[in-house]
Amino acid sequence: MSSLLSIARTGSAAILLSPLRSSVTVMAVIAVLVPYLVGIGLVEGLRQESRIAIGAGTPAEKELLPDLYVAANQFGRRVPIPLELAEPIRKFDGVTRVIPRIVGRITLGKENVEAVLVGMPREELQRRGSSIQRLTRLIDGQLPRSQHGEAPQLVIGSGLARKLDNLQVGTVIPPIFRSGGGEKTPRITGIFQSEISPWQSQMILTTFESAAEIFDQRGLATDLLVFCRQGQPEAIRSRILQSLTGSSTKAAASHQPSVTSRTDLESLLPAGLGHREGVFNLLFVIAFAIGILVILVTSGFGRPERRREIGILKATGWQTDEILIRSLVESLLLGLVSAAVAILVALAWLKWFNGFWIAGIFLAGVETQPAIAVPYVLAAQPAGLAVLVACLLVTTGSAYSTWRTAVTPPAEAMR
Amino acid sequence: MTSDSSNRLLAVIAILVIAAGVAVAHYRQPVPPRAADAAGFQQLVGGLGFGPSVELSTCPVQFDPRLETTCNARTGPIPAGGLLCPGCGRFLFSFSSRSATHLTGPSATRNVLAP
Repeated sequence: MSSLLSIARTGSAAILLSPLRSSVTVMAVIAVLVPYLVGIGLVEGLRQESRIAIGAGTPAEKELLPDLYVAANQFGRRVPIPLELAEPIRKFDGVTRVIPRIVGRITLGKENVEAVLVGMPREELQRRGSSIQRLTRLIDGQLPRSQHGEAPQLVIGSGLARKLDNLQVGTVIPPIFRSGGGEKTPRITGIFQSEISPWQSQMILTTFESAAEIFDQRGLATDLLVFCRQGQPEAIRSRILQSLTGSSTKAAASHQPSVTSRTDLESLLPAGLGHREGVFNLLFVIAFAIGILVILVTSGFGRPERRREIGILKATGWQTDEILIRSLVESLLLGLVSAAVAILVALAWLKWFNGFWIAGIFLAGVETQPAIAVPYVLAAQPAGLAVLVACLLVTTGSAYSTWRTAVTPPAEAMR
Repeated sequence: MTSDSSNRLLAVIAILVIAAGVAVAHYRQPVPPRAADAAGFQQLVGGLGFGPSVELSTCPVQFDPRLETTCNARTGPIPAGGLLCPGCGRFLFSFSSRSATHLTGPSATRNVLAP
């Protein structure tokens, strides 16, 4: 046992005997592992944010987020839902509140900067704002209060503020619409804090009334947010589908309702991640396969020295299996170093450099230097996988060349 | 090669491995204050944002599948038709068209009843 340990200890000395080869091997493994760890870190971070966005894990009795989202379809496509459909839903037993919401796409400025305009009823915004502890942690400024006919008050995302020449709270921006009510000049009343959510980046929050004026769409909403009593959502969902589909009112007759519940969204999340696991992991399987070839090539660095070294060991009485154990320990140590450094580099890239450049590749609409705090989670599973892959890569890449040299007669190996 | 250098190398490797382990243990969960702020934001907008896109120009389904049921560029039965969307193909993960086959549990029913 002690002789085995002694042989294993020479493995660490072997790393220092050929520093160029060792460092090139470590670099090659790090180059493969870091994008993988960063990508998986972003996915896990986004998954956590998505869970918060659908209220997964929050107690149902708190009524923080809607239980059902009711929208309308025509010809199989999503269309705005008439506000009058909110009234019958409100009367259903078990429904506590129905809130209309507008979500739409607009462009701003000379460079047509993309934005997502969200309109929530004025009273609802004030009610929610007062229930949130420390609103200043979410918004630098105030919530919008604009009423119908007034100049719109907007809370804009951190990314949008930066793209539009570093807009400040209180700034007035040129009219972004020309509706029947004439031009009105919107005022920025607040800016979302950059670290609260990735989706605030390009978002504009205003009152429902102002959003309806901006889009010049009266009496319509994108969806109806339905809050239900605990344990009632599924029953209410069925009732909405049955009663609104067969309704005799003109608005209901021309629209087919579509109801999305939290359970639907929760089931979509693993499906989306499953797709990622299929495509993203496949790409990295290819990268790992190429990595083995790269390590085989990089094993050529310092190869004459390595051949002579193995030849000397053989000449001094070392057996082939002992040389292979020494090489295995060397490879495992190199793999461990590579994986550890890759994990630390990935963490530094995500935390201190805020996913500079790479977040823009993986997340659409995010700039090279993200204006949001990029969400990330370094899960234990991918980190463990990184260690395994690193050790496997280095071992597979160097085992063959070591074995070939170890079975060569010492005199020939030392030549 | 001296035994001292070898010991120093082993110590450096041990430090790196421990540092990586501590980093994973510390960052395996989102920071609680941030989660509370994210929940507050979602409360304000009624739950919005779910996918790997922060705007609607590329593909609304990838911003939030609550807003659209299918990708606008999706070509249905054409092989690899989903890849025709300039948005969907580049994302880390994507939500395909929302149909009953993707749903599980008590919600695995059709969203739209046949008239």
